[in-house]
Amino acid sequence: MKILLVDDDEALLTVFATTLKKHGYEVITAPNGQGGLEKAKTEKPDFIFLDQVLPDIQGNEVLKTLKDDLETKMIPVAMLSNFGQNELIQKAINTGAADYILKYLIEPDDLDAKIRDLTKAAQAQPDREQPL
Amino acid sequence: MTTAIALLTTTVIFFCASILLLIKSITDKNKLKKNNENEKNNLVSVISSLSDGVIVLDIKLNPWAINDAARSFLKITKESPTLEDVLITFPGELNLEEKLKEVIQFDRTATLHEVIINEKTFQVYINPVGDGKNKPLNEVAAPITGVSLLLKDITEEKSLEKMQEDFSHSVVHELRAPVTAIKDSASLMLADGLGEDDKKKMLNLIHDQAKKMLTQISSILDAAKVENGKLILTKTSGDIGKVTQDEVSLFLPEAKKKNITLIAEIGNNLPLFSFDNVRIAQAIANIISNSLKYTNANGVVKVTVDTNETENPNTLKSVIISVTDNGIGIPLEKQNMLFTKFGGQLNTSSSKETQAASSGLGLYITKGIIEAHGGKIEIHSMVGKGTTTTFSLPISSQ
Repeated sequence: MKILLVDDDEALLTVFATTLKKHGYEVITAPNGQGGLEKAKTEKPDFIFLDQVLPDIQGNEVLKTLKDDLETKMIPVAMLSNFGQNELIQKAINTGAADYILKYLIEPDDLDAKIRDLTKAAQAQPDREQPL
Repeated sequence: MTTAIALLTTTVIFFCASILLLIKSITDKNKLKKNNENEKNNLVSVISSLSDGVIVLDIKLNPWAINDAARSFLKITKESPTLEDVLITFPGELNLEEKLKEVIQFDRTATLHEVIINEKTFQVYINPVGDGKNKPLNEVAAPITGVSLLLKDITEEKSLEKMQEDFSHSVVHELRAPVTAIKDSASLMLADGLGEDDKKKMLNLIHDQAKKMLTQISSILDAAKVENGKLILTKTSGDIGKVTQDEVSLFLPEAKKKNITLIAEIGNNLPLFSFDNVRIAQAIANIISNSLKYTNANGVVKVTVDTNETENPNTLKSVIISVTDNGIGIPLEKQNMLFTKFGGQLNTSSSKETQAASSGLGLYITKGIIEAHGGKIEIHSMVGKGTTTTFSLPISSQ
């Protein structure tokens, strides 16, 4: 299973990548939104962790582009953030995020279960469309 | 304080308006229309000088007087606007008409908080006109003859509030990120399944992130010192050329990693003079760090140090230090915000250009350090061309 990590925080990339590799995942990374979008299309990952604050394009915009594209819309995306305000969470979920993860609360070893739960949920509703 | 002033202004205006509307009702009865017009003109001239928007409506909610500020806030151009013209400018969900009726019916005031009209934010005070409650006991309470609206523009206060919020957000983000990395690395090491190489990688990460956090905490404290004017310099005689060269050398690995050419041009015969070697090194580091951050691969960052030779021997000589890059540049409208404490902050809706302007607290502290030495700092930048940051340090023997 291939996981794409999009974040400009190198330390977080290192920790998440090390954890996921330990659990047997193949991991690819991108340090910005543009790189993330390109890798999502060319590498066809099974799951994406997407940071909310990126140096070039905002995470929500990247998410919207992914969800508007037929090739990438089925890939579950979990937003990563340092901020837990309801409006931010709601915005991400409305844009199509499968989950909203607070970086400082999640334990790295819980990422594995998260990926399994969210991909299972995504497969259970294959025709899930964005509300008009 | 502002609320107190607003209330005072409101009281004065409503007092005037009360009297005038009372006169209006009497004159209406007596059909002395001409006098009424005069009084109305008087009222309009009283309220026209106010920077707050004022609209006075009669008991049937017909707009009776409106000042220039209110016209400009609500973009009303009609000479005699109708109630509909006024209502349409307010957000519909406020039910302004109902509120106005309630104020008249129950003889009480109402305040609408943070009403957004034409991209500005207002505090709106609604008051009954001819309210008898505030009359001295021996005077007959005047009947309510209308209602008035006072619009106080609080856009600036709100935007400052927003900047402060963004600033605390940014500080939280910058501190949370390294702590999170430390916590997660430690968790990984405590759990099973990590190879020796990975364990070492995690230990290095803990070390680097802890160091990063200490630097960020120092920055926050430095910014506080600059803000309170408590930045204390420890001046010793030093070689500015060497200090600059040393800082450049420290950034060479980072430049190489990003494939950026980082060069230093140090002038000959630079004098030894007295300055805070540590703080100036910190200032130079902040500027180089910014340039590296906003320059793409294959770019060039050049650091120069020289004296400004002047013809006039009485003019104080200075050392001029410049950092020039051919990076993404900073839009003009962001440039004057760069040196403010809040100006350089990221916010969650910012574009690439805005983020290019974000330097955290670095430039704010840098400016504080340069100015404490009696020097000046300026930035020249063009989007797509690059940025030059220049500062001067007066050469003093002290």
